[in-house]
Amino acid sequence: MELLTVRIAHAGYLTNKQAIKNIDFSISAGQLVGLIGPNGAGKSTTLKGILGLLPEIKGQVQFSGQRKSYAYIPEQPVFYDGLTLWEHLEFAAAAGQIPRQVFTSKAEELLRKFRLVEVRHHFPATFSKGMQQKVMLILGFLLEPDVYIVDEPFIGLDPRATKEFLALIYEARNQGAGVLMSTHVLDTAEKVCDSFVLMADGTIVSKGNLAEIRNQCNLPDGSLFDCFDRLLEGFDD
Amino acid sequence: MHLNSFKLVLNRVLAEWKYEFGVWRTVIDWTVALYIVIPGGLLGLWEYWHWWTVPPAWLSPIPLSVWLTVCYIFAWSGSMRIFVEEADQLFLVQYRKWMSNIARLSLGYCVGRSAVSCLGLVLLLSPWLMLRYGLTLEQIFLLYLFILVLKTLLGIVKQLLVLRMSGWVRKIALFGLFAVGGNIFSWAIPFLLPRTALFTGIIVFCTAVTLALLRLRLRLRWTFFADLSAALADKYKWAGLLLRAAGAGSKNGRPSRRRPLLFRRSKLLFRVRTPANALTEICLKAVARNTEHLQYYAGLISLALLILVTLPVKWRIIIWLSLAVTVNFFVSLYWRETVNSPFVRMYKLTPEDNILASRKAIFWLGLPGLLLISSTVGFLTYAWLGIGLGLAAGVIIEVYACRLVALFV
Repeated sequence: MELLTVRIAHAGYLTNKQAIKNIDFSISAGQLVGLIGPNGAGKSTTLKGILGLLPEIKGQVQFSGQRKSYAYIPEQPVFYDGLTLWEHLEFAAAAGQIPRQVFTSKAEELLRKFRLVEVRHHFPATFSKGMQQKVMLILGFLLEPDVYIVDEPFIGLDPRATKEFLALIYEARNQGAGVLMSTHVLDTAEKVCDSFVLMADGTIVSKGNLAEIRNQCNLPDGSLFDCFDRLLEGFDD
Repeated sequence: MHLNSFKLVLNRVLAEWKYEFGVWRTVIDWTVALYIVIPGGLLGLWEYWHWWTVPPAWLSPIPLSVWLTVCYIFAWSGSMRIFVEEADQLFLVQYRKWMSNIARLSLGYCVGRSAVSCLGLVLLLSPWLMLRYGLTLEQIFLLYLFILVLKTLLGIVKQLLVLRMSGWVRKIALFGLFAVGGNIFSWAIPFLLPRTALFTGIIVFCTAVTLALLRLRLRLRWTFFADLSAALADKYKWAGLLLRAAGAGSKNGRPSRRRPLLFRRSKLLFRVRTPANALTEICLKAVARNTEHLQYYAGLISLALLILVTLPVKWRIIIWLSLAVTVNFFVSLYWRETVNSPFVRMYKLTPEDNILASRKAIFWLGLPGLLLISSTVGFLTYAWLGIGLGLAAGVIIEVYACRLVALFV
């Protein structure tokens, strides 16, 4: 069952209306898709297009899960300065209309997993970058949406938090959620993703699982990093 | 032409003015300027001109100490800012001479700015000081000089305290300075005003102390990040609020406290957890925990009360209703700051939830101020009995004023 279908003919900004072109992929239940590409390839613009944040878009983005819901976990943590960590969770739960009891037990469990119980009544704006990233993950996992859209999740996370994050992603996928993860950490992506969408110059260069990508670039035993390098050779300039 | 430290500071000051102007223009567009700001300004000027011939009768019983308190609070307010920018740490900070010149010129600019604002304050108070209390021009000039020197002295002492102390110790020291300084000021000025020579001597002495402290401040070498933090706080004190309200995403800076003072354990304000209640709640909590927001709120209400008691009785009802709308428009900036924050925008709320939450938040934020204004109107009109009437009317007006303002946010 497809949870997210992206068919964007072109999309962009007022000054660059075709920043991305011919973006076409989908995410099924339980699938983890890695969105990879060099800096400036159009990954963040694609994510913005999916989230409906671009002023110019021609095409279609369709969430078709049971609740048609998603959680976006941004690369740069965003907080409301005057609220404690727990109040951020309270707001997310009320906005997502999560029943009170479900919220309390789920929030407690996530705080424990990411070792943030002691600072639940502190302002997240005073946390370190890694702790802030953990809060963003907690906010995302709290909602239990159909689709997770995660932007560069590994930046700033310590090894234990990375492990917890991957375990939670695994659990969410087992429960039928789909995940779109934009990342530069190719060795981790190779291990955890089911398939990949490789972007360069605002368009898709290659997509499919690792075997299909290896075939496309004639590297039968190549790592994702090798394939990435080979596929982008023509885009150096 | 080579850039030197003078041109650099000049560029930064001009950029700041341009920035401030741009921000205010987003709030005061030409319709607001044409129909509210310009007529309001002309009305104020006309009233001020009138005070030079007949000061308002109700002001007669107010003792000189009240006006001196106003002067002291004015001298206490504001800050001495060094015009440093974040990128200076990459290059400029290693050149001591440049940094020292930037600090010297910035402090000079702050003193110049204070000279203009002190002049404005003394000119505003002059009708009472001369006609009611019989001060001469010479005495008013000395008072002006003293307030200017005191403002600079307090500014630099406050800055040194902030650099040397932190936490509760800093708060207690600042409070102590404010209280002791205020007491000395209110006692010393009536004593010094008739003794011109002594007053002049005290001003010269205070100037010498101020200059010594300024030199001390300029010798400190490790203050870059504290200066940067103070500069950002000063730059965004008004602009930040207005820009955040407009959704332009200006940051407040990192909070100085790890935990809030109010609602320390994240206590809920509304038991029923609807999206609208949750949105209202975060707006109320964020305002209640923000000292700057509360200061602006208190400032607006004080100004409103001053307007109420200063302007003629025949306009009281119209002014009351106008103030009700103004207060609600003002607090709607806080509301807009909440709904336009990047965090809140991550969550999809229905338009109905937004409207309901805006009414609730604006109502609760505007109510305390409007109750104060309304009880004052009641007291001025019907003495003690009027306070109760004013409070009841205030609640009713607030219900409608918040609904009216919510239509525009």
